[in-house]
Amino acid sequence: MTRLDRDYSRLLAEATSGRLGRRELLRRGLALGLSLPAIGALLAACGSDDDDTDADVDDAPATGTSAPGGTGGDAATATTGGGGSPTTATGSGGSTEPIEGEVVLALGSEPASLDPHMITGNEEWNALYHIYDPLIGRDPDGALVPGLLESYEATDAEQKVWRLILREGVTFHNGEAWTAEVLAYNFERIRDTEEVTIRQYTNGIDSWEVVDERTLDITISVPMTLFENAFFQVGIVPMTYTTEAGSAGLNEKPVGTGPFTFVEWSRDEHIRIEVNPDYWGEAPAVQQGLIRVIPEPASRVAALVSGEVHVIRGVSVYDVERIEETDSTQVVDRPGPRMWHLKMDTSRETGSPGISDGPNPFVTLGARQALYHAIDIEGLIDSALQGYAEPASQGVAPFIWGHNPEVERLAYDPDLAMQLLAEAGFPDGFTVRFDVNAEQSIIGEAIAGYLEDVGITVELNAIATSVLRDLTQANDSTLNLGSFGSTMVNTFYDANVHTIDADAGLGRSNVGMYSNPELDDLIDQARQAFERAEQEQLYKDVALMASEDVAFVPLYHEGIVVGAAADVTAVPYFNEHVYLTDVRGT
Amino acid sequence: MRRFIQMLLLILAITSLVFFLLQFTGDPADLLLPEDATQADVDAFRERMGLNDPLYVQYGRFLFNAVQGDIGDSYYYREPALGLVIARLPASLQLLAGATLLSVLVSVPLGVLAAVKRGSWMDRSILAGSLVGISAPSFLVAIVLILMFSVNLDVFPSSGRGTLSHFVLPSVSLALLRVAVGIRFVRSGMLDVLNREYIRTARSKGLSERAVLVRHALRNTMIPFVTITGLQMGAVLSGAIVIERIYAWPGMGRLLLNALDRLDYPVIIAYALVAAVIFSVINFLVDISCFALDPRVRAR
Repeated sequence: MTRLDRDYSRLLAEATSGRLGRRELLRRGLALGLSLPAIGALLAACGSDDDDTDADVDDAPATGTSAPGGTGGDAATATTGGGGSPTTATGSGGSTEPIEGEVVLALGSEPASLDPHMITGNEEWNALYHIYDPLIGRDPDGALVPGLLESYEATDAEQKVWRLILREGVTFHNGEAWTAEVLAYNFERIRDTEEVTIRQYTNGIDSWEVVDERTLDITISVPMTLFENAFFQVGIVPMTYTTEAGSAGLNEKPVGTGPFTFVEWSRDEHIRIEVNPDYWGEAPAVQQGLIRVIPEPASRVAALVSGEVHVIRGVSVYDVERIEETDSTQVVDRPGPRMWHLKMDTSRETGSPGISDGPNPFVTLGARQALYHAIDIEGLIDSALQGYAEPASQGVAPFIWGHNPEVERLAYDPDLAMQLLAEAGFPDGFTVRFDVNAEQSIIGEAIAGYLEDVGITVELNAIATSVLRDLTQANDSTLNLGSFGSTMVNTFYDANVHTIDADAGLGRSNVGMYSNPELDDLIDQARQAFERAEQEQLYKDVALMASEDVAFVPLYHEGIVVGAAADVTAVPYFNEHVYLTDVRGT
Repeated sequence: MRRFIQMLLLILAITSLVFFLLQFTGDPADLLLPEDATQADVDAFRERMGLNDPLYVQYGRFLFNAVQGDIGDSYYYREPALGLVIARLPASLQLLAGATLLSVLVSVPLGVLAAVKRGSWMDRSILAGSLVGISAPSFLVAIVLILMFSVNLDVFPSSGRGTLSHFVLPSVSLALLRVAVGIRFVRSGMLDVLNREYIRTARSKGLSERAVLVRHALRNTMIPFVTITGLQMGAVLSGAIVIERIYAWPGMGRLLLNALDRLDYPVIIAYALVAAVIFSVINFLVDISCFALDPRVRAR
């Protein structure tokens, strides 16, 4: 298949599966040389009405059992991604024949430990979810799929007591059984062990009770919908083994229930795994796996192109061409959740650190709106990101539950921006220091360019991550470029938009100390709403209000780009993960 | 004995300097916990790591533990930081040794050749080559080498450590700058020596050109060369940091880069300590070798 054929069929596949927004379809169609009538026909056939990708995230209802799969072994899980929409050009799901030889996945950073309760970073999770399973899984788009929990239902009218039914037929790699007692042990360990880093995902589970071998009742003070999302981050460890060996034991020889068993860990180099023949879910095609660590992105690409590794994540948009040019490799991409945005100091009228003299414009809504209107996001995405991003209109991406499709971006309108600035009292614009991470200097410069066009003079301050964090945490920045990778709508608004309340753990990323009491109330209500439909509506209202008050200026959702050998299928997930479990030969 | 005390003081000074400089770089607690961890957890972490204590208390605690050999546990790995660094020392030393050996093997003959054939096209091309080596940034060289030999020609693996062929590209990348500098040094050293009277004497004695070159000229050039090579180990060690990252070589430098990103203070300080010790040892060895090589020093 020539490259052009491949691009066409890929475009077609993505368009018909509804994953392509209109603008994207038009842009790529034109790039491929399709004539306008042809594109028109394609658009009509696909019938997508808005720019957001079609995303029906959640299937599990608030009451009753979780939908897909039931007790059957066919249920798709997050770790196998079985049946999920394939994202490769060839359009088939790949063969399930066992793959001979070692298949290598290259990540960018090494895990600090192999204990799933001590996870500190995204790539650690990626590695560990070959060996461990979560309670509730997710498919590549982020929709819930059953994990080690088969089903769950509320047993009281207020939906504060839930009965969790464990999946049958699951054993740990060392033979231990998966029982309610083990689940209780896991909850206890997360709650009580000091060094655990994932406590925020089980906060609000007040108590639990083992009913029988397969059943655990829990009492919660936070709506179950939040746990449905959070349980994905909770990996399950065996009880006897962990009690005896502790975290150190898990580091030396991790034992889980996952599709692969542990073989060896060579610090800083690789983790070797092999297929678990007794796995409860769909059997992986990969028999021997190696998870290598190659920190430098260019080296990862080199390793892929030279055939030393088969799948890599974290591909920079500038490396895409190189991978696509090589016959033996391919690029697989999908929309991602990480939302890049501008945060502004809304706490001081004067004396804002980035404004050398004079009033701080960002306390007025008009100036914030002006900033929003000044940016041509399509142009930015095309030029600085090579098209691998989606314009953002709010905190979470379209495929995340809680997204409000009615909230749209403010249009690119530099004239309106200038008018708004004048009305806000800045007819001649103003000078501001713009703080960005040095790694984002290109984006920073592009944005500065748009701001200059409407009369704002920008001093670009590109600094190291830790220094930027220092500035922003101390509210020492007037305008900065930030990102938040939340895959859960509640954590996004709690951390970024809610007024800072350290005791309640809110506003941790609320740089600029944005404070809107009305919006706070709405966010608090949403967090506490136990009824699912009500909660969803509340979060949609939150998104609308945050957008109208320009709590932050949303920019884009970073696309996820993964590289793979041309003769395998690889499936990137909504949270940037890619698993050997899903790799199949073509 | 005095040297030994000097060494200890130096190590103390370096680690203290690093300790204080780190205070200006940001908050590790913020960087080490997941983005959506609650503020309560971040605060608890900071408290547990003793980061809320006043600076002099932290420094005092650090010194007290350090003299007992305990630099503290890595914030990220939750294991003793010194142990982490030392575990990766062999890998870095391997790279250091390989690069040094390579640079000596290449720069000495080429430097001598350039000096002997001074003014010829050979000399000029060697000089030009060395200029390129000095000017090209090592990470650029590393990536170009990977592209050429690993991706296009598929002769060497692009990253990792294991077999001898994994060792080649990283050593070459690291050695390149040293080779370039070494060539110039040997060349000018030789040129200087070749003009001396004792060389003329040796020639007039009827010694073969080769004997003159090797037994007399080169021997005398080697003394400053060894000194310089030893002193340059410092630069090689710091160059190794970038090379290790590019080639995914599991050495100390890579650990340091990760620690810097995460503000893992104990590991950064442990690295500084180990690096300081390495330099001191190397300098000591250089002094000894001068002593052994140069009879004039011995006679004193």
